[in-house]
Amino acid sequence: MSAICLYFQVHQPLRIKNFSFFDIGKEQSYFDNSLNKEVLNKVSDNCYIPTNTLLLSLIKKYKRKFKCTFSLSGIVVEQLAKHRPDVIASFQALAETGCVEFLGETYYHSLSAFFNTEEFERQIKLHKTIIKKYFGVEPLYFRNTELLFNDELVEVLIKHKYKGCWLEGSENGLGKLNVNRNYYSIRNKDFTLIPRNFPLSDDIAFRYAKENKTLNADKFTRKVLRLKSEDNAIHLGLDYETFGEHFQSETGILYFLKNWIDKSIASKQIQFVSTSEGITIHPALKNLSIESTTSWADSEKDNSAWLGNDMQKECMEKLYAMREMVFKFKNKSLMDKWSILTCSDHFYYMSNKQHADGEVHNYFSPFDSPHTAYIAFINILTDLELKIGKMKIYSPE
Amino acid sequence: MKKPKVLMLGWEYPPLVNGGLGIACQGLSKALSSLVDLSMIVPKASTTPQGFQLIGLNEKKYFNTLTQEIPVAYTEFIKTYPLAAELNPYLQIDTASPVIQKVTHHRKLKKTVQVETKPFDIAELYGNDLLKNTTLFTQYAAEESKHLDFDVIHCHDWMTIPAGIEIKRRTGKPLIYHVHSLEHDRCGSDSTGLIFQIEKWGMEQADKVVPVSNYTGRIAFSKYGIDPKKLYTVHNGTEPIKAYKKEKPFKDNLVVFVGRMTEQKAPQQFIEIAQRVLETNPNTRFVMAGTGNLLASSIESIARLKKGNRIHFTGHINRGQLFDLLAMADVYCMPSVSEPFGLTALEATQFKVPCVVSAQSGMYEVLKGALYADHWQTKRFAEHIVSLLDSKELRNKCLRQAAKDIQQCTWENAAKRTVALYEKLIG
Repeated sequence: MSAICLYFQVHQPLRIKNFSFFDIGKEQSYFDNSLNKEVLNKVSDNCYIPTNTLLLSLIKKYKRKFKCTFSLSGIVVEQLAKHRPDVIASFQALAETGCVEFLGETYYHSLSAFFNTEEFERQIKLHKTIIKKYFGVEPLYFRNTELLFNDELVEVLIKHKYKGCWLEGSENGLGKLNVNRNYYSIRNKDFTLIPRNFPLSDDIAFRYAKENKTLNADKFTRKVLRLKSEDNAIHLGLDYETFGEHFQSETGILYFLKNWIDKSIASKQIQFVSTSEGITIHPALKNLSIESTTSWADSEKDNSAWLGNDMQKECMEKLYAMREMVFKFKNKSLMDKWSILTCSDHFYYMSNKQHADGEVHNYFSPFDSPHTAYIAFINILTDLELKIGKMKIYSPE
Repeated sequence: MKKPKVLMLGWEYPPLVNGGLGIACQGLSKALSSLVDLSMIVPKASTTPQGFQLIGLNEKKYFNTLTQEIPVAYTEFIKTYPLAAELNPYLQIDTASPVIQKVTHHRKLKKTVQVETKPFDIAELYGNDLLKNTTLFTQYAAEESKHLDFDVIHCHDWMTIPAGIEIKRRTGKPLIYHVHSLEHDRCGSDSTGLIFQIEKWGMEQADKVVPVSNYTGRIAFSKYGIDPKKLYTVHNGTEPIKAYKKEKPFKDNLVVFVGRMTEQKAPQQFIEIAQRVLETNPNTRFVMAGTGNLLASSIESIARLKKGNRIHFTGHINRGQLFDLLAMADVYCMPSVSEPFGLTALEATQFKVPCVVSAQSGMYEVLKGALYADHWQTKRFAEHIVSLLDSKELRNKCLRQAAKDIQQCTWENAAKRTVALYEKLIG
């Protein structure tokens, strides 16, 4: 029997404003509050509420035979708690069934893991706290921002009591190893690595609706059953917004989700498990080493979606270079602002990749070009730098 | 003497397009309005200025007579006698029975129709349709000129010169070609394309060519082969601005670049200059205002140098933002490869901002109180900027001289010189 471990990523960034040179030093807000609220409401109504309702009904229908996993970034929980308590309540209802597992991640959906370990740990802790606060659970497994992963992360994650981590099951990480298995990290035998089956995940996330044709639940179930070896641990990871937002409900994506789960369970050859349960059923037998960073983004499956060009690199370096100064003054408003700027999305918008990957970047970006995204961000950094400079003058050393 | 009656053909007029050409046409026509009877035709207008008639073709309706082909079809019935395939020399006609056939014929009839058109009821004056727009302007400006009484035709830049030539052909009135910029400035010294040809033809057909600087006049002579006797320089003026000072959001010095991000304005050179200045004066910031085809690559090279928090970009800015920027600036830098005049330097001067300007510019003739370097000498530019930032004495010396210089740069002076030319031409 194969086990499908289905994990949904829930995240909404706090997008920055088109901050111009003339805004510098004028106590302007950095964030486009109205746009952020508008997107949050849209995604809540199109995706979070209806899909949560569907999953809750499936959990009730199948008792404990249907389980799934969620990862919610800290800033999406924060936004929902502020503007959409109804969505928080619907996630809480899912949590109460005991059939939904929550993953740990960085609070700000950042790349801090690769730039500042202290900051990485701070964001892990903040995230743990907010998940505990709203959903009453402490995550056991981790997924780093956009599945960015390399061996160096293992030690820190163990320190924070994580037992394993999701990663992209791509060739640049896995090589010829079977993606439908769990592995243990070369750094520690007790740390499980959970590779995402990206071709199957992308069948839904990217290719659900293509040229007026939609993915058929029967076909997809058969495809899963036809996998070469048996007794598979199939890890599917999807942006939650796939359901109702990236593909609008008119495409029938929610029916597909329901049909597919129904058909799979009816086949009696597939079970839906949570991340922890999947590892109990299919424990890791082989080790795996990920030396250079892999991720689930773009065709490169590396960090180039956020660090592929000079604009992204400059902003990232300058941002982390400011951390020490920002935290020195223990000014909460300043720290919050800086922290929100660590969100990976700001850098994603600055990517000037072309073709299919570029189209995905553009789909998500509120800016008309990667260059405008860069200008807005670097102007904000300049403003922040000036703010810190002023504090330096007024604060007694 | 009677006031000369002037027909002016312009391409842009504020506030619709706020390029340098529009600003110059506005300044000159306002100053001329008290000295001559002025009518000005532009593709698009949205204001009614005082003292002269501004005709925007966008407000006019025209009827074009066109020949259209109208498809028609008619059907007829034909009686035919089919014959056997093998022709029989002894055919008896009565043996063949007639067949009635229906045949439809298609024809095209030519018909003359009146079509109402509104030329320039469009958003973009420049862009991909520039040549088409120039042709339309020629047609309708010539049409419009029939209703006007004038002694002399005065064109601004190549977009209007075909119209000027056409009106001269119809009326025999003398033609002036006012040159604000040439293809040689915009596209470099190898220009030989269609626009270059139009400019050359225009200057040859014109009775007088009026470059905005001797520098541009020299290009007309050396690159276009125009007879120097035909050239009559009229320097631009500058509208008096209520200049003010604005506090910068930082303590650092501010060096400003304003212009289209194109080869002509040399943004890449400016970045090189900025880098050199930062080597010796790290507490300096730079703003590059404007947009164009080199904007993206300029931004990328700043990011590569990791100077994004020192060299700022604004994208396109309006007049108000330009003034705000000049009100904050410590030095204005214009490293253009070729700048016929360089109006913004005079505006910077009004804001008491010292200028470092390319020697390949009209400024070299009028603004003595600025520092100059050949456009390729980025090191010299940087040295000049650093000197102005470091030495208060030099700053003041430049500003004092510049204040004197701009007193000469008025549109009234430009208008007087232009009227003298009109009178000479009308005789």
